[in-house]
Amino acid sequence: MVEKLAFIGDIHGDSVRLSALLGNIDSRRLVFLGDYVDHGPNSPEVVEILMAAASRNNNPVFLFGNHEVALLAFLSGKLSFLEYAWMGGLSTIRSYVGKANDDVRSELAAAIPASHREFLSSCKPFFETDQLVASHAGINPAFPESREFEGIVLGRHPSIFDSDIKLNKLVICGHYLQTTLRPFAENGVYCLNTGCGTIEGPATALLYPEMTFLQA
Amino acid sequence: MEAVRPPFKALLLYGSHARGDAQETSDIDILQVTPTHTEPYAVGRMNITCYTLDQLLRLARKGGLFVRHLVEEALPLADPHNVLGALKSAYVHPLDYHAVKREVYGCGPLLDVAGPQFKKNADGLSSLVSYLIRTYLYATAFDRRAKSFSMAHVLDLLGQQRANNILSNVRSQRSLAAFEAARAFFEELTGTICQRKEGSLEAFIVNASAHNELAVILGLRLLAGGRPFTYDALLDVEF
Repeated sequence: MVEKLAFIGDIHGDSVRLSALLGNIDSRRLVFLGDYVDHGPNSPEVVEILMAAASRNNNPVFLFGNHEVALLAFLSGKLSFLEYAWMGGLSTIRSYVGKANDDVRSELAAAIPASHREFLSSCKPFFETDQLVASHAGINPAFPESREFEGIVLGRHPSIFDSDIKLNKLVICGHYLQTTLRPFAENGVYCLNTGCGTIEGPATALLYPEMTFLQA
Repeated sequence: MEAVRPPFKALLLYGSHARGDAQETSDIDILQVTPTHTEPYAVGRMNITCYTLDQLLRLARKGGLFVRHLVEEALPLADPHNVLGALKSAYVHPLDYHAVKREVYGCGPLLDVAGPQFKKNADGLSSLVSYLIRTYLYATAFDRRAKSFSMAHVLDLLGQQRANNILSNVRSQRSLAAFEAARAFFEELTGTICQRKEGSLEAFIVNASAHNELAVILGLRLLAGGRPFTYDALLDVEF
């Protein structure tokens, strides 16, 4: 019997829409596609909600998005303030730190709870079954078997949206902003980044195996 | 036209040459509508500013001063897709420029630099103070029913002719003295003090991001120094 799943697209600090969406999903296993933080108003609350879901839900899966990687890289000094700000990190810094005074990186490191850091660090790069592969950035159609972190979390593969694409598994991803605010669903490719936290779009879930969508 | 680096969707002439009040020393201002983000560049006396159509349409819907400038005064040099017409249709005239002025004087702390810091980014800081003064003057003048973007007309209307020398000096000299004179004029004009309460530019940017998008964009540009970073980059940041 196929396990029932709910895949959840980019959240980007919009805790209100995340809560509303989770409230509409039955007790099936949750697979989050990454990008929980940055841009939107309340990244700390989003992380709290996800951590609470981790304790309640049946073994949920939290995948990395490039924004989780960026936040951790900024904290560890691998990403500059300018680069992180450019990616939308200012709202995350502000929502953790409150009023910044001087050394923003140290202030964020002091303000972010250890549990949040551990949660973000423990995300997985991808989730895969015989029928599907889910990752933040999808897969590179030129190397469909590759599961390298740089490709499936940090990469960019717009050719998965080509009309003549043929893949041997369903691909479920976030990352690529759907400005229509509707999920993309063609040729076995599903993209659930419908602008939550960035362009005031909804948070989107894909119910599997029904292949129906929920939005909030 | 040969000086323009392709590709482009449209080329629009704006500024004094489009209005017909150019002087011998006036620069030639050209907008190049590009398919993707492109850095502005200069060729001789031509300043070529690059925007994508999406960016311009977004600014038009927000009633931005730059798009107003284009809509009211630009002349098409090459516009096969009628970009200028699309901007005119999309442009929403703001009720007033109070919000613009608030954002501009909220940028004052960006100018809180001492001599050694100024030398590290003399070009960036000189351009910044000039941009803030000009924007504030335009916003104030259009709230008083200015008729054009001619700086001479704006200064006449506001009785601020001495801004001419101040802007001209800061632009041509790029010196600390010219910068400080311009900053003092900005403080007088806006009734604010250019003092940053935070210990770093980064901390100021974080706090400003709660309410002042312009301060964020200009602050990040200052931080970038000579490295490529443009207003457009932040507007169309990839999510």
